[in-house]
Amino acid sequence: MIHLGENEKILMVLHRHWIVIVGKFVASAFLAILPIFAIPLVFASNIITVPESAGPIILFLSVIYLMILTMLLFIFWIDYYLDMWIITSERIIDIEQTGLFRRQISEFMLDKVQDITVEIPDMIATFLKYGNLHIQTAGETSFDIKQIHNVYEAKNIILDSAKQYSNKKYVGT
Amino acid sequence: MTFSFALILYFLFLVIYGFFVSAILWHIKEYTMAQDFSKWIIRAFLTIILFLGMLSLFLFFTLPFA
Repeated sequence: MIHLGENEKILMVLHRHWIVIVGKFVASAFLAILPIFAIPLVFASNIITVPESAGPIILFLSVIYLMILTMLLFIFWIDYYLDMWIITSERIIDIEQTGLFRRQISEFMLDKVQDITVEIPDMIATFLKYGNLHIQTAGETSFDIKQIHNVYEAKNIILDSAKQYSNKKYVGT
Repeated sequence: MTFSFALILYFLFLVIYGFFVSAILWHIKEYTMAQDFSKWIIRAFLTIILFLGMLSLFLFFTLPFA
């Protein structure tokens, strides 16, 4: 998946905090149980007259609906799970999975790191211990790592590794 | 006639569904870093999908086409 250099080691793999996907799971669970309440209500309210023979058809369509919902949930989870940041001893790799078929990978070397800002954006983030990292690089672009767990540990690892990598590079030249 | 049309529609749905399941499994095989907790989630999803697929197949043949 990722080609590492000769002496390059993976130091940390970061995913977004699980709270990011909880909302989608809760919404899907609500949509999954919705037919259980909605179908009897429609039958009872006499809004539309449903023949008795429609029972198996409604049941079949409910199962198809659940299959589609499960698939959507699976795609949401893949989107969440394959979004990651890999900190190695030489670089930071940002892998952005969007949906099922779109994937973007970017990376920058650790010697480009100039400054790191840790941001804990709100009360929920404080309680659940996640936050954002804003990395200022030597180039014009900056780099954001959002909604990750162990934000302080990640910052320390990046700064230490950046220092070590720069020293190694300086000694090597 | 109705049965044949419904069967074609259902078969098409299963083919498209199967394509998406295969695509997801390919992504997992290709891009996951290590065998961590993800394998339990994948197993749970596959079990649910397989169960619902078999249930839909059973229900399809109980539909009153006449």
